Amino acid sequence: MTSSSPTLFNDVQVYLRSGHIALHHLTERQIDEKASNIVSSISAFPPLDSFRVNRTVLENYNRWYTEKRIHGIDRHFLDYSGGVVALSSQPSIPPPRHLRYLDSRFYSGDVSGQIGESLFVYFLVERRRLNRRNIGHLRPQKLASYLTCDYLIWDRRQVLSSIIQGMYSSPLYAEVKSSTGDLTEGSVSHGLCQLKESIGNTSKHGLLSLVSRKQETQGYGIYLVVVRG
Amino acid sequence: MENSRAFEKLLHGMNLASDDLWIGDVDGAITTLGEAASGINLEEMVTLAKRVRKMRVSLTSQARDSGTPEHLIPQWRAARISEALEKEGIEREHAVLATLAIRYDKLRMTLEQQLELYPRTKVFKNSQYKYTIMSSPPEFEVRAILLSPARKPNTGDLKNALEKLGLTPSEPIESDQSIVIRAYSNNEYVVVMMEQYTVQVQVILRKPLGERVMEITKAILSVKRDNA
Repeated sequence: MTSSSPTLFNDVQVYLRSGHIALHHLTERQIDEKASNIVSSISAFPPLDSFRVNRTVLENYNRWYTEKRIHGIDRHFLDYSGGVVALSSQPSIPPPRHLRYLDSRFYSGDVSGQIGESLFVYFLVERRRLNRRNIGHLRPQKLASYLTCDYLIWDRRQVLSSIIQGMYSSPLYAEVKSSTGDLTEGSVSHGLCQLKESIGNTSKHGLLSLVSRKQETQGYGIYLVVVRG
Repeated sequence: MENSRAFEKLLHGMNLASDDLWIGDVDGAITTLGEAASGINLEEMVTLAKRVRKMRVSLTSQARDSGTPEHLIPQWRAARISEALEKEGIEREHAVLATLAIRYDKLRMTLEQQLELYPRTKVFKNSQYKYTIMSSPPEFEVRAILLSPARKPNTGDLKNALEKLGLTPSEPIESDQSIVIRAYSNNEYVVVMMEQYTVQVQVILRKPLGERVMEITKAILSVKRDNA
Protein backbone atom coordinates (compact mmCIF):
# COMPACT_ATOMS: atom_id res chain seq x y z
CA MET A 1 0.00 0.00 0.00
CA THR A 2 1.33 3.44 -0.81
CA SER A 3 0.92 6.69 1.06
CA SER A 4 -1.56 7.87 -1.55
CA SER A 5 -4.02 5.06 -0.75
CA PRO A 6 -7.21 6.16 0.94
CA THR A 7 -7.00 6.33 4.69
CA LEU A 8 -8.91 3.57 6.38
CA PHE A 9 -10.24 3.17 9.85
CA ASN A 10 -7.23 1.46 11.39
CA ASP A 11 -4.59 2.64 8.98
CA VAL A 12 -1.18 3.75 10.08
CA GLN A 13 0.82 6.32 8.16
CA VAL A 14 4.56 6.48 8.76
CA TYR A 15 6.61 9.61 8.13
CA LEU A 16 10.36 10.12 8.36
CA ARG A 17 12.14 13.39 9.09
CA SER A 18 15.04 13.88 6.67
CA GLY A 19 18.51 14.03 8.16
CA HIS A 20 19.88 13.45 11.65
CA ILE A 21 19.83 15.49 14.81
CA ALA A 22 23.25 15.50 16.49
CA LEU A 23 22.38 15.48 20.17
CA HIS A 24 25.67 15.57 21.99
CA HIS A 25 26.44 19.26 21.79
CA LEU A 26 22.88 20.48 22.22
CA THR A 27 22.31 22.61 25.28
CA GLU A 28 19.11 22.44 27.33
CA ARG A 29 17.68 25.38 25.41
CA GLN A 30 18.70 23.95 22.03
CA ILE A 31 16.97 20.65 22.83
CA ASP A 32 13.76 22.55 23.52
CA GLU A 33 14.22 24.49 20.27
CA LYS A 34 14.72 21.24 18.34
CA ALA A 35 11.58 19.82 19.93
CA SER A 36 9.65 22.92 19.00
CA ASN A 37 11.00 22.72 15.46
CA ILE A 38 9.97 19.04 15.19
CA VAL A 39 6.44 19.76 16.37
CA SER A 40 5.99 22.72 14.03
CA SER A 41 7.35 20.87 11.00
CA ILE A 42 5.83 17.46 11.66
CA SER A 43 3.11 17.85 9.04
CA ALA A 44 5.84 18.33 6.43
CA PHE A 45 7.69 15.09 7.24
CA PRO A 46 7.92 13.04 4.01
CA PRO A 47 5.74 9.90 3.99
CA LEU A 48 7.62 6.62 4.34
CA ASP A 49 5.04 3.88 4.60
CA SER A 50 1.38 3.20 5.12
CA PHE A 51 -0.30 0.03 6.29
CA ARG A 52 -3.43 -1.36 7.81
CA VAL A 53 -3.01 -2.87 11.25
CA ASN A 54 -3.89 -6.47 11.87
CA ARG A 55 -5.18 -6.16 15.40
CA THR A 56 -4.68 -9.81 16.31
CA VAL A 57 -1.01 -9.40 15.51
CA LEU A 58 -0.87 -6.03 17.28
CA GLU A 59 -2.12 -7.68 20.45
CA ASN A 60 0.91 -9.95 20.38
CA TYR A 61 3.32 -7.03 20.15
CA ASN A 62 1.45 -5.47 23.05
CA ARG A 63 2.08 -8.65 25.00
CA TRP A 64 5.74 -8.92 24.12
CA TYR A 65 7.07 -5.39 23.88
CA THR A 66 5.23 -2.79 25.90
CA GLU A 67 5.84 -1.21 29.25
CA LYS A 68 2.69 -2.14 31.10
CA ARG A 69 0.72 -4.65 29.19
CA ILE A 70 -2.98 -3.92 29.04
CA HIS A 71 -5.17 -6.81 28.06
CA GLY A 72 -7.28 -6.20 24.99
CA ILE A 73 -5.24 -3.50 23.31
CA ASP A 74 -6.64 -4.74 20.01
CA ARG A 75 -10.09 -3.71 21.15
CA HIS A 76 -8.87 -0.38 22.57
CA PHE A 77 -7.26 0.35 19.24
CA LEU A 78 -10.58 1.01 17.57
CA ASP A 79 -12.65 2.64 20.27
CA TYR A 80 -9.92 4.75 21.80
CA SER A 81 -10.45 8.34 20.84
CA GLY A 82 -9.22 11.48 22.51
CA GLY A 83 -8.60 9.67 25.77
CA VAL A 84 -12.30 9.39 26.55
CA VAL A 85 -14.78 6.63 25.95
CA ALA A 86 -18.49 7.06 25.37
CA LEU A 87 -20.37 9.07 27.96
CA SER A 88 -22.67 7.40 30.43
CA SER A 89 -26.13 8.88 30.65
CA GLN A 90 -26.55 11.55 33.31
CA PRO A 91 -29.40 11.43 35.86
CA SER A 92 -31.87 14.26 35.40
CA ILE A 93 -31.47 15.32 39.05
CA PRO A 94 -28.54 17.70 39.38
CA PRO A 95 -25.61 16.52 41.51
CA PRO A 96 -24.89 18.07 44.96
CA ARG A 97 -23.20 21.47 44.87
CA HIS A 98 -19.54 21.45 43.82
CA LEU A 99 -19.81 17.88 42.68
CA ARG A 100 -20.37 16.41 39.27
CA TYR A 101 -21.51 13.06 38.06
CA LEU A 102 -18.90 10.61 36.91
CA ASP A 103 -20.31 10.46 33.45
CA SER A 104 -17.10 9.93 31.55
CA ARG A 105 -14.31 7.47 32.04
CA PHE A 106 -10.85 8.55 31.08
CA TYR A 107 -8.28 6.18 29.84
CA SER A 108 -4.93 6.84 31.38
CA GLY A 109 -2.06 7.85 29.18
CA ASP A 110 -0.89 4.27 29.62
CA VAL A 111 -3.28 3.16 26.93
CA SER A 112 -1.96 5.55 24.31
CA GLY A 113 1.59 4.68 25.38
CA GLN A 114 0.70 1.07 24.99
CA ILE A 115 -0.66 1.51 21.51
CA GLY A 116 2.33 3.64 20.52
CA GLU A 117 4.87 1.06 21.65
CA SER A 118 2.93 -1.83 20.09
CA LEU A 119 2.64 0.01 16.79
CA PHE A 120 6.33 0.89 16.76
CA VAL A 121 7.38 -2.76 17.14
CA TYR A 122 4.67 -3.85 14.71
CA PHE A 123 6.15 -1.48 12.13
CA LEU A 124 9.71 -2.71 12.69
CA VAL A 125 8.84 -6.40 12.46
CA GLU A 126 5.90 -6.56 10.09
CA ARG A 127 6.95 -3.83 7.68
CA ARG A 128 10.74 -3.77 7.99
CA ARG A 129 11.30 -7.49 8.63
CA LEU A 130 13.36 -6.97 11.74
CA ASN A 131 13.87 -10.14 13.76
CA ARG A 132 11.65 -9.57 16.76
CA ARG A 133 14.00 -11.41 19.11
CA ASN A 134 16.57 -8.71 18.40
CA ILE A 135 14.38 -6.05 19.96
CA GLY A 136 14.94 -5.49 23.64
CA HIS A 137 12.35 -3.66 25.64
CA LEU A 138 14.27 -2.19 28.52
CA ARG A 139 11.52 -1.03 30.79
CA PRO A 140 8.82 -3.64 30.88
CA GLN A 141 9.03 -3.61 34.65
CA LYS A 142 9.29 0.15 34.92
CA LEU A 143 12.98 0.24 35.70
CA ALA A 144 12.80 3.77 36.97
CA SER A 145 15.87 5.99 36.92
CA TYR A 146 18.18 3.54 35.16
CA LEU A 147 20.16 4.99 32.28
CA THR A 148 18.18 3.64 29.37
CA CYS A 149 15.79 4.39 26.59
CA ASP A 150 12.71 2.32 25.73
CA TYR A 151 14.31 -0.10 23.26
CA LEU A 152 17.69 -1.50 22.24
CA ILE A 153 17.64 -2.94 18.74
CA TRP A 154 20.29 -5.21 17.26
CA ASP A 155 20.17 -5.01 13.50
CA ARG A 156 23.32 -6.50 12.02
CA ARG A 157 21.64 -6.95 8.62
CA GLN A 158 21.04 -3.19 8.54
CA VAL A 159 17.41 -3.62 7.55
CA LEU A 160 16.69 -0.20 9.01
CA SER A 161 19.41 1.57 7.03
CA SER A 162 16.91 3.35 4.78
CA ILE A 163 15.33 4.84 7.90
CA ILE A 164 18.60 5.69 9.61
CA GLN A 165 19.77 7.09 6.26
CA GLY A 166 23.20 5.46 6.42
CA MET A 167 25.17 2.71 8.12
CA TYR A 168 25.09 2.35 11.86
CA SER A 169 26.29 0.03 14.57
CA SER A 170 24.11 -2.07 16.84
CA PRO A 171 22.49 -1.60 19.17
CA LEU A 172 20.28 1.16 17.92
CA TYR A 173 18.54 3.12 20.66
CA ALA A 174 14.84 3.92 20.41
CA GLU A 175 12.39 5.95 22.41
CA VAL A 176 8.63 6.06 21.81
CA LYS A 177 6.35 8.95 22.75
CA SER A 178 2.64 8.68 22.14
CA SER A 179 -0.27 11.03 22.17
CA THR A 180 -3.96 10.94 21.44
CA GLY A 181 -4.07 14.53 20.33
CA ASP A 182 -1.37 16.82 19.05
CA LEU A 183 2.16 15.97 20.09
CA THR A 184 3.53 18.42 22.61
CA GLU A 185 6.93 20.06 22.62
CA GLY A 186 7.47 18.82 26.17
CA SER A 187 6.94 15.21 25.23
CA VAL A 188 9.23 15.47 22.20
CA SER A 189 11.85 17.27 24.26
CA HIS A 190 11.78 14.53 26.91
CA GLY A 191 12.20 11.89 24.21
CA LEU A 192 15.24 13.71 22.84
CA CYS A 193 16.68 14.05 26.35
CA GLN A 194 16.22 10.34 27.00
CA LEU A 195 18.15 9.55 23.82
CA LYS A 196 20.79 12.19 24.53
CA GLU A 197 21.46 10.64 27.92
CA SER A 198 21.78 7.16 26.43
CA ILE A 199 23.78 8.07 23.32
CA GLY A 200 25.90 10.97 24.60
CA ASN A 201 29.08 11.49 22.62
CA THR A 202 29.23 7.95 21.23
CA SER A 203 28.90 7.14 17.53
CA LYS A 204 25.54 5.46 18.16
CA HIS A 205 22.29 6.28 16.43
CA GLY A 206 18.85 6.54 17.90
CA LEU A 207 15.29 6.64 16.73
CA LEU A 208 12.62 8.81 18.28
CA SER A 209 9.21 7.47 17.35
CA LEU A 210 6.34 9.89 17.85
CA VAL A 211 3.00 8.17 17.61
CA SER A 212 -0.11 10.23 17.34
CA ARG A 213 -3.78 9.46 16.96
CA LYS A 214 -5.24 11.10 13.89
CA GLN A 215 -8.63 12.20 15.09
CA GLU A 216 -9.95 12.98 11.67
CA THR A 217 -9.33 9.47 10.33
CA GLN A 218 -9.29 7.44 13.57
CA GLY A 219 -5.96 6.09 12.39
CA TYR A 220 -2.45 6.64 13.70
CA GLY A 221 0.63 8.48 12.51
CA ILE A 222 4.15 7.36 13.32
CA TYR A 223 6.69 10.17 12.93
CA LEU A 224 10.29 9.00 12.98
CA VAL A 225 13.20 11.24 13.91
CA VAL A 226 16.77 9.94 13.61
CA VAL A 227 19.33 11.15 16.12
CA ARG A 228 23.02 10.48 16.71
CA GLY A 229 25.73 11.29 19.22
CA MET B 1 34.01 -5.51 29.87
CA GLU B 2 31.48 -7.47 27.87
CA ASN B 3 30.92 -6.73 24.23
CA SER B 4 27.77 -5.94 22.36
CA ARG B 5 27.49 -9.48 20.95
CA ALA B 6 27.30 -11.00 24.42
CA PHE B 7 24.40 -8.68 25.19
CA GLU B 8 22.75 -9.48 21.89
CA LYS B 9 22.86 -13.14 22.93
CA LEU B 10 21.49 -12.22 26.34
CA LEU B 11 18.62 -10.32 24.77
CA HIS B 12 17.85 -13.15 22.37
CA GLY B 13 17.75 -15.55 25.32
CA MET B 14 15.46 -13.27 27.31
CA ASN B 15 13.03 -12.99 24.42
CA LEU B 16 13.17 -16.76 23.92
CA ALA B 17 12.51 -17.29 27.64
CA SER B 18 9.59 -14.92 27.36
CA ASP B 19 8.14 -17.14 24.62
CA ASP B 20 8.78 -20.21 26.80
CA LEU B 21 6.74 -18.56 29.54
CA TRP B 22 4.02 -17.72 27.06
CA ILE B 23 3.48 -21.40 26.33
CA GLY B 24 3.81 -22.21 30.03
CA ASP B 25 7.18 -23.98 29.82
CA VAL B 26 8.69 -22.58 33.02
CA ASP B 27 11.50 -25.12 33.21
CA GLY B 28 12.37 -24.36 29.58
CA ALA B 29 12.49 -20.63 30.39
CA ILE B 30 14.89 -21.19 33.30
CA THR B 31 17.20 -23.33 31.15
CA THR B 32 17.11 -20.77 28.36
CA LEU B 33 17.94 -17.92 30.72
CA GLY B 34 20.83 -19.86 32.23
CA GLU B 35 22.39 -20.40 28.80
CA ALA B 36 21.81 -16.81 27.66
CA ALA B 37 24.05 -15.20 30.24
CA SER B 38 27.27 -17.04 29.44
CA GLY B 39 30.02 -14.57 28.59
CA ILE B 40 28.64 -11.81 30.78
CA ASN B 41 29.75 -10.98 34.30
CA LEU B 42 26.25 -10.29 35.52
CA GLU B 43 27.19 -9.23 39.00
CA GLU B 44 29.55 -6.60 37.64
CA MET B 45 26.97 -5.31 35.17
CA VAL B 46 24.17 -5.17 37.74
CA THR B 47 26.47 -3.23 40.06
CA LEU B 48 27.33 -0.83 37.23
CA ALA B 49 23.68 -0.24 36.33
CA LYS B 50 22.82 0.48 39.96
CA ARG B 51 25.78 2.83 40.32
CA VAL B 52 24.68 4.84 37.27
CA ARG B 53 21.13 4.86 38.55
CA LYS B 54 22.36 6.45 41.78
CA MET B 55 24.18 9.08 39.77
CA ARG B 56 21.01 9.92 37.85
CA VAL B 57 18.96 10.10 41.03
CA SER B 58 21.58 12.39 42.53
CA LEU B 59 21.51 14.64 39.44
CA THR B 60 17.73 14.82 39.68
CA SER B 61 18.00 15.94 43.32
CA GLN B 62 20.60 18.55 42.38
CA ALA B 63 18.28 19.87 39.67
CA ARG B 64 15.45 20.22 42.19
CA ASP B 65 17.75 21.85 44.73
CA SER B 66 18.86 24.38 42.14
CA GLY B 67 15.24 25.37 41.54
CA THR B 68 14.86 23.77 38.12
CA PRO B 69 11.16 23.37 37.29
CA GLU B 70 10.04 19.74 37.31
CA HIS B 71 9.28 19.62 33.58
CA LEU B 72 12.79 20.85 32.73
CA ILE B 73 14.66 18.31 34.86
CA PRO B 74 15.25 15.83 31.97
CA GLN B 75 16.96 18.60 29.97
CA TRP B 76 19.04 19.63 33.00
CA ARG B 77 20.09 16.04 33.67
CA ALA B 78 20.82 15.23 30.02
CA ALA B 79 23.20 18.17 29.89
CA ARG B 80 25.17 16.94 32.89
CA ILE B 81 25.19 13.14 32.72
CA SER B 82 28.20 13.00 30.33
CA GLU B 83 30.38 14.87 32.76
CA ALA B 84 29.24 12.68 35.66
CA LEU B 85 29.97 9.47 33.74
CA GLU B 86 33.39 10.69 32.63
CA LYS B 87 34.26 11.70 36.15
CA GLU B 88 33.52 8.17 37.35
CA GLY B 89 35.33 6.59 34.37
CA ILE B 90 32.16 4.84 33.16
CA GLU B 91 31.73 4.01 29.51
CA ARG B 92 28.26 5.08 28.49
CA GLU B 93 27.43 2.14 26.22
CA HIS B 94 28.24 -0.30 29.01
CA ALA B 95 26.07 1.67 31.38
CA VAL B 96 23.11 1.39 29.00
CA LEU B 97 23.72 -2.29 28.21
CA ALA B 98 23.97 -2.96 31.93
CA THR B 99 20.27 -2.16 32.19
CA LEU B 100 19.64 -5.34 30.21
CA ALA B 101 21.47 -7.21 32.95
CA ILE B 102 19.11 -5.67 35.51
CA ARG B 103 16.11 -6.82 33.51
CA TYR B 104 17.62 -10.27 33.13
CA ASP B 105 18.36 -10.48 36.83
CA LYS B 106 14.81 -9.50 37.77
CA LEU B 107 13.33 -12.04 35.39
CA ARG B 108 15.59 -14.85 36.63
CA MET B 109 14.99 -14.03 40.31
CA THR B 110 11.22 -13.83 39.82
CA LEU B 111 11.21 -17.20 38.13
CA GLU B 112 13.44 -18.87 40.70
CA GLN B 113 11.58 -17.42 43.68
CA GLN B 114 8.19 -18.33 42.31
CA LEU B 115 9.12 -21.58 40.64
CA GLU B 116 6.81 -23.64 42.79
CA LEU B 117 3.88 -21.33 42.14
CA TYR B 118 3.84 -21.90 38.41
CA PRO B 119 1.61 -24.78 37.40
CA ARG B 120 3.44 -27.26 35.18
CA THR B 121 1.93 -27.75 31.75
CA LYS B 122 2.53 -30.76 29.55
CA VAL B 123 4.84 -29.67 26.75
CA PHE B 124 4.47 -31.53 23.45
CA LYS B 125 7.29 -31.57 20.91
CA ASN B 126 7.70 -32.42 17.27
CA SER B 127 10.53 -31.79 14.82
CA GLN B 128 9.58 -28.15 14.31
CA TYR B 129 7.71 -27.03 17.41
CA LYS B 130 7.18 -27.34 21.10
CA TYR B 131 3.68 -26.54 22.22
CA THR B 132 1.13 -26.65 24.99
CA ILE B 133 -2.64 -26.83 25.00
CA MET B 134 -4.71 -24.84 27.44
CA SER B 135 -8.22 -26.11 27.80
CA SER B 136 -11.18 -24.29 29.16
CA PRO B 137 -13.97 -26.27 27.41
CA PRO B 138 -15.51 -25.46 25.06
CA GLU B 139 -12.53 -23.18 24.36
CA PHE B 140 -9.02 -24.43 23.77
CA GLU B 141 -5.84 -22.54 23.01
CA VAL B 142 -2.73 -24.04 21.50
CA ARG B 143 0.48 -22.08 21.89
CA ALA B 144 3.51 -23.24 19.94
CA ILE B 145 7.09 -22.01 19.57
CA LEU B 146 9.12 -22.82 16.51
CA LEU B 147 12.43 -24.46 17.31
CA SER B 148 14.05 -22.35 14.59
CA PRO B 149 12.54 -19.23 13.00
CA ALA B 150 10.51 -19.77 9.85
CA ARG B 151 8.70 -17.80 7.22
CA LYS B 152 4.95 -17.74 7.29
CA PRO B 153 3.48 -20.68 5.39
CA ASN B 154 2.05 -20.59 1.92
CA THR B 155 -1.54 -19.42 2.23
CA GLY B 156 -2.82 -22.18 -0.06
CA ASP B 157 -1.13 -24.88 2.04
CA LEU B 158 -2.69 -23.51 5.21
CA LYS B 159 -6.13 -23.28 3.61
CA ASN B 160 -5.82 -26.85 2.30
CA ALA B 161 -4.91 -28.14 5.76
CA LEU B 162 -8.00 -26.44 7.22
CA GLU B 163 -10.26 -27.73 4.45
CA LYS B 164 -9.00 -31.28 4.99
CA LEU B 165 -10.18 -30.90 8.59
CA GLY B 166 -13.67 -30.15 7.29
CA LEU B 167 -13.41 -26.43 7.99
CA THR B 168 -14.16 -23.50 5.70
CA PRO B 169 -11.29 -21.01 5.86
CA SER B 170 -11.80 -17.27 5.59
CA GLU B 171 -9.55 -15.10 3.47
CA PRO B 172 -6.35 -14.69 5.50
CA ILE B 173 -5.13 -11.36 6.77
CA GLU B 174 -1.45 -11.23 5.93
CA SER B 175 1.46 -8.94 6.55
CA ASP B 176 5.12 -9.51 5.71
CA GLN B 177 5.79 -11.68 8.72
CA SER B 178 2.43 -12.83 10.02
CA ILE B 179 -0.74 -14.49 8.90
CA VAL B 180 -4.09 -14.69 10.64
CA ILE B 181 -6.80 -16.97 9.31
CA ARG B 182 -10.18 -18.00 10.68
CA ALA B 183 -12.03 -21.20 9.81
CA TYR B 184 -15.54 -22.40 10.51
CA SER B 185 -17.80 -25.41 10.42
CA ASN B 186 -21.18 -26.08 11.97
CA ASN B 187 -19.43 -27.38 15.06
CA GLU B 188 -16.15 -25.52 15.21
CA TYR B 189 -14.54 -22.11 15.08
CA VAL B 190 -10.77 -21.87 14.73
CA VAL B 191 -8.43 -18.85 14.67
CA VAL B 192 -4.83 -19.39 13.60
CA MET B 193 -2.10 -16.78 14.05
CA MET B 194 1.40 -17.49 12.77
CA GLU B 195 4.50 -15.30 12.93
CA GLN B 196 8.31 -15.68 12.89
CA TYR B 197 8.58 -17.70 16.07
CA THR B 198 5.13 -18.69 17.25
CA VAL B 199 1.82 -20.18 16.32
CA GLN B 200 -1.38 -19.60 18.25
CA VAL B 201 -4.50 -21.62 17.56
CA GLN B 202 -7.76 -20.82 19.28
CA VAL B 203 -10.43 -23.49 18.97
CA ILE B 204 -14.05 -23.39 20.08
CA LEU B 205 -15.92 -26.65 19.74
CA ARG B 206 -19.62 -27.40 20.06
CA LYS B 207 -18.65 -30.77 21.50
CA PRO B 208 -15.44 -30.24 23.43
CA LEU B 209 -13.37 -33.25 22.44
CA GLY B 210 -9.67 -33.21 23.25
CA GLU B 211 -8.92 -35.59 20.38
CA ARG B 212 -10.36 -33.14 17.88
CA VAL B 213 -8.23 -30.32 19.31
CA MET B 214 -5.16 -32.49 18.92
CA GLU B 215 -6.15 -33.38 15.35
CA ILE B 216 -6.57 -29.69 14.44
CA THR B 217 -3.29 -28.80 16.18
CA LYS B 218 -1.25 -31.47 14.43
CA ALA B 219 -2.69 -30.58 11.03
CA ILE B 220 -1.90 -26.87 11.43
CA LEU B 221 1.55 -27.40 12.87
CA SER B 222 2.50 -29.76 10.05
CA VAL B 223 1.91 -27.14 7.33
CA LYS B 224 5.27 -26.63 5.64
CA ARG B 225 7.22 -23.48 6.49
CA ASP B 226 10.58 -22.46 5.05
CA ASN B 227 13.43 -21.43 7.28
CA ALA B 228 13.72 -17.70 7.82
